Amino acid sequence: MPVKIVHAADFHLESSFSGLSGAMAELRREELKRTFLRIMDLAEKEEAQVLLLAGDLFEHGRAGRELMHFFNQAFSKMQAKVFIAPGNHDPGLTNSPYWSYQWSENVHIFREKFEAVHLPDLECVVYGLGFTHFAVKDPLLANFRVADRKMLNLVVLHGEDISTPLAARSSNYLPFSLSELALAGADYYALGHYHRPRVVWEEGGSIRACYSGSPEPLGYDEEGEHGVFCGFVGKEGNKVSFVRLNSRSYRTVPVPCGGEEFLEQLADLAVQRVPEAERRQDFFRLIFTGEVDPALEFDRGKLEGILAAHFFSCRVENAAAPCHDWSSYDQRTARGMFAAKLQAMLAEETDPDEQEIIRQSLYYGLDALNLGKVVER
Amino acid sequence: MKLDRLELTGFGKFVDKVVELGPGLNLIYGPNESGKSTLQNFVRGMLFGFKKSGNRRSYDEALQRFQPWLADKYQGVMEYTLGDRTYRIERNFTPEGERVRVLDGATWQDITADFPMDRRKEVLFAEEHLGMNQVVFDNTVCVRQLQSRSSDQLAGEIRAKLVNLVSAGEEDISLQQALKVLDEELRKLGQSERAGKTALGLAAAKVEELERARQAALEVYGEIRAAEENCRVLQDDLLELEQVRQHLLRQDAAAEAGEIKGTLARVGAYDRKIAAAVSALKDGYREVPLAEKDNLLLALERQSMAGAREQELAEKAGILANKLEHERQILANFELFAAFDQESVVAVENSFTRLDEAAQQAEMLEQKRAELVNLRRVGDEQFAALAGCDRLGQAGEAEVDRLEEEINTLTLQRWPYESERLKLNAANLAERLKLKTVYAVLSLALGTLLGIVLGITVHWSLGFLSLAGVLFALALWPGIGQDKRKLKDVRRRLEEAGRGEEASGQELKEKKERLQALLAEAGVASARELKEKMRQLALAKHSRQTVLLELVEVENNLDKLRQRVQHEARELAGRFLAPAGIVTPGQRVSREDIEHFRGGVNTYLELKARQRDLWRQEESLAGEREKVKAELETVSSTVQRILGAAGVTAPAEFLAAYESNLHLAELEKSLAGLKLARAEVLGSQSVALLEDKLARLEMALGQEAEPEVRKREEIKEELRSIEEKIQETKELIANLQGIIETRLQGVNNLANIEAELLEAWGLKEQVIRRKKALELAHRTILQVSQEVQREFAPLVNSHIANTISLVTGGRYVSGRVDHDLNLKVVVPETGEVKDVGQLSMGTVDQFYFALRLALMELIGAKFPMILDEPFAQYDDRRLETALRVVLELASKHQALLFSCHRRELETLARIAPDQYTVINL
Repeated sequence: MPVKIVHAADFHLESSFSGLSGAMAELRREELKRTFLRIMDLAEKEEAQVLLLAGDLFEHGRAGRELMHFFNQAFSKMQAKVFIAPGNHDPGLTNSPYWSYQWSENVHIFREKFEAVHLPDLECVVYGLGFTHFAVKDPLLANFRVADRKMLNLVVLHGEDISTPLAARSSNYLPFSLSELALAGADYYALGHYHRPRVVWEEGGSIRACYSGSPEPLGYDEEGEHGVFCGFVGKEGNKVSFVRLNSRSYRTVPVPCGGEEFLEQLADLAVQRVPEAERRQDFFRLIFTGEVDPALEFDRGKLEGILAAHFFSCRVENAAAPCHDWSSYDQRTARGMFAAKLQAMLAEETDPDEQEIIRQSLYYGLDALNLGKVVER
Repeated sequence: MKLDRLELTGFGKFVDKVVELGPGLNLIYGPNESGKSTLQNFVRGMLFGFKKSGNRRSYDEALQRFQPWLADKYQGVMEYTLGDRTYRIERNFTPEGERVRVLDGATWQDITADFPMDRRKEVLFAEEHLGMNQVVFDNTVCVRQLQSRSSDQLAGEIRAKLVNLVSAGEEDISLQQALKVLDEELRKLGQSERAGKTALGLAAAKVEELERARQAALEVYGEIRAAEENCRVLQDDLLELEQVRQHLLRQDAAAEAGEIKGTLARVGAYDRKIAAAVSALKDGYREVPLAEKDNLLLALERQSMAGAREQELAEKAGILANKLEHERQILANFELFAAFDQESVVAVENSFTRLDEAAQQAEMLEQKRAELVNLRRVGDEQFAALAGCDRLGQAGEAEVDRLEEEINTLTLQRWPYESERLKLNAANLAERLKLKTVYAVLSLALGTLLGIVLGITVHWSLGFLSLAGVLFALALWPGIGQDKRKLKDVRRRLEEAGRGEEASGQELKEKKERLQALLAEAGVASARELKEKMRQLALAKHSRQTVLLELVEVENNLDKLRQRVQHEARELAGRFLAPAGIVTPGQRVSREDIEHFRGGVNTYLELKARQRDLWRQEESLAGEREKVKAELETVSSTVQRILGAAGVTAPAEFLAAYESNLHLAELEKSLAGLKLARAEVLGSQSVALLEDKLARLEMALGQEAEPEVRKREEIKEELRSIEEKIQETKELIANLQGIIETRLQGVNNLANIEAELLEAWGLKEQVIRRKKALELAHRTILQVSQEVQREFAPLVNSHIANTISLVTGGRYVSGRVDHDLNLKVVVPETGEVKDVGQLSMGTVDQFYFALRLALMELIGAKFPMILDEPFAQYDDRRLETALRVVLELASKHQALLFSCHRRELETLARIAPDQYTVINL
């Protein structure tokens, strides 16, 4: 019979958030905990029978028994069976707080070898394996097979999918491939490690393996929705779907410029670009595009300081080009010749990285010629 | 190009100021702050506007500087001639209403749209008409007033401008300075990744540091992994040892509990025994003849056996008496059968058999008789129904036949339509006959033909179709024959009908009436019916006769049989059944009566036999009872004697006393022993203490199955060994965990290190890219510099010669721009080649002016020269020389010379009166 599950991972509670100020980092840590509790509420509301937590629940070295108690208080109130597979950030080292705490009876934490936990009432077997070090190089899934394919077999695992073409061939984080998932024979793989939710294996409309992602984004490279996967898994097929839960988002917003001379003007553009409610809520990466005055010094710290009054948190990047009136650079002058040479090189170059170097070279040269200094951009 | 007219509607200090310019040299003279600079900027502004290059929203500071002081409007008009056309430029300078219009000077038609617009929305008419942009304009045709005030500064400024002009073509752009700036940036970045505190060095160092950290982390993890593995193995061992220890503890507890239970059980047993002994000892001894005990027991046993036997026999006698009485009562019911035996039974059965057979025969005859009577009745009824026909007789029947025949004949003869019907019938038959004949012939022919053709052309089997045709024809043939016969008959009748048509109607009528009368007498409707009934009448008569004869015979037989039966019945009843009380004389005998008789006789005989047997048993039983009674009396007397001797009334008392005496002696012996043994078992503990300990042990052991029972010494020895091993293992684990903890300290999470490393790589790449870009810029500027030197310097060299000679009045006749873009000249006094920068400020100034002029020539400037106080530092001689040059140049191009010194005015007035236009501001 189908089993109702909630699949979550990568909470990273007690993260340092070193990129944020002290108060903001503390706020964010609190928000992670609140999101965790929302997930527990969701599991109760959905009457989930099994809760699969695929690792990186906390940062080893920053979490102690208090955090375990926090987890366990939530777990002990649930009807669901809770399965935890420690990841590379919360490995089950011998001094891990996982082992020094007396967990509620409905909680099971996996160790370094594949283990099967039978749930006779649900006619289901949950397999799992946990990190016991910060790194696991061996492809431990390669030789794993479920014992009885007639049962409903679930696997909870923290690992790195190396099936994608851009993935590194070797990995320190329990590498596995899609073919290994298929051979293992389980009906659903609850994966953790990547922070953005991703379906790894879908068959006939049924999600067989997926990364739930972190329920809250943790950096600017984690834009988009974050949450958990929830639904039914069964021998006839799985009906799980993504549930968004994040309270804040990381967002990238381009801010087109039109020849601004001063940082305050750039700040005004950014403020006008984003509605206030969103500015107060989310993390913004503001990328200034278009053109700015060639003499404008793009002082990131100063600009972020100006914007701090208007944004909950933001980071600025400069992708704006200094606006030069190329037509004013007569080729009979050295400036004109310089500009013409580099523009000709730019037109001939096809590699984007090299193009950017040439472009920057042009700007630096003109800065040196026009302004007697190289402007910080 | 020649400027014709300037209208400053509102610009700086000017309001509605009009300046008319002439060809050639225009000396715009006015004291300081008279507006010379304003007028120059007006010309620049009218041509190019005041927007900053590349920025449509930003304006040059000149826009603010030349806001009208007094006028409402900030605008002006400029008219100029280019080639053979004149143009009128109207411009509004205010940012809100900024607008420029280019009008054809002759027609004032707006031709603004004819000129392109840059992204600042600036109309580029000046670029098109002048062939240069504002930068080039500023650096060539507009020789501005020098800014420096001190002579040293002035010299430096001129030299710098000279160098810039030579090297960059723009006096305000210094390639060398730019290169220095880039060099400085590169220096700050760092030459290589090893360059310590530079950006590149720091970025590279960061990457290296993180790589080392990552490697260190991996190494540490490797070490930790081994330690962790050992730890896990030891923990598994510890778990097993602990399990063994728990098991041993349980065994020990169970053993101890067993011991305590045993002890308590033994103590309990002792207690019970002691209590019983104490209680028994209370009663004391009794006097009994111990030797008679066995005799008493024997006598009691015999007494018991005899009594039981006597009782048994009495019961049997009672049962027997009851049986005898019961048999007697039953026998009384069968006394009537006492006179009969088995022979009687046989005789009765035979007699009844005969009787029964006779009765069955009689019954059959009765049935037969009844049938015959019924047949007779039916026959009578039939006969009655046919009375009429009987009366008519055979004669009447013959007459009817005759009449019918005659009538038929007459009818046929009489009625003509009968012949018509016959004709029609004949025609139909003939037609049908013809059709059938045709069908037969056709089917025969067609079938045969088709069969042959298809058999030959398609398949031989289809030849059988001809056979089908033949068969069909043959099928029709009988029908054809029948129709022929019918036709013949109809035709015959038709002939007869034709003859009969003439018969008399009256005769027919009479005959019909006679026929009807006869039929009525017979009670029939037609002759046919009459015939039928006559036939029936004959049959009825015959049948009736037969029935009567048979009936008489049957009745005779029946009478004989009845008599025989009566005789037999009387015999049976009188001799046997009536005496047995089964029937009364004269009563009819049934099978049941016979059965009753046989059963009664047999039952009586059986009962008598049983009675005799029971008498025999009764007699035997009585004898045995007498014997047992005698035995009982003998034994009882023995018992009484012994009991009497013991002074007791009951055997139990005797035995109890006997036992008691024995028991008491033993008890006394054992009581002391029991107490001693009990004390030994308990030792120093009390029962309560042991019970409490047992309860605690049992609670600890719980509901689980009791472990195997072993000796406690063995268990304790094993426990000691296990606990030692446990302690050792714990110490090993603690050691390993300490090692792990120590190694983990200071090692960051690998994932965090890798994330930082990725970021550091990114930063390093960024620095490298910046370095590459700066290097490229540097290289390119150098290349430009070299090209300038290669391409521009020769041009400068060629052009500068004329102008230097002109400007210096022949003192210096040539100059050269060297590889480093330094202008060098030959000092006439010494013949030495010197850098111009090393010459006097005045000479440098001259060279600067000459170079500006050379540049103008070089670019083929179309615009008039604008000279703003270019000769401020010149002495009179140089001034005159320079003015002559300007006049010479002004003969080809319009020139605007701004000056606040009267020297220029006076010198010009002296050397070239009427060759210039003066405009006073």
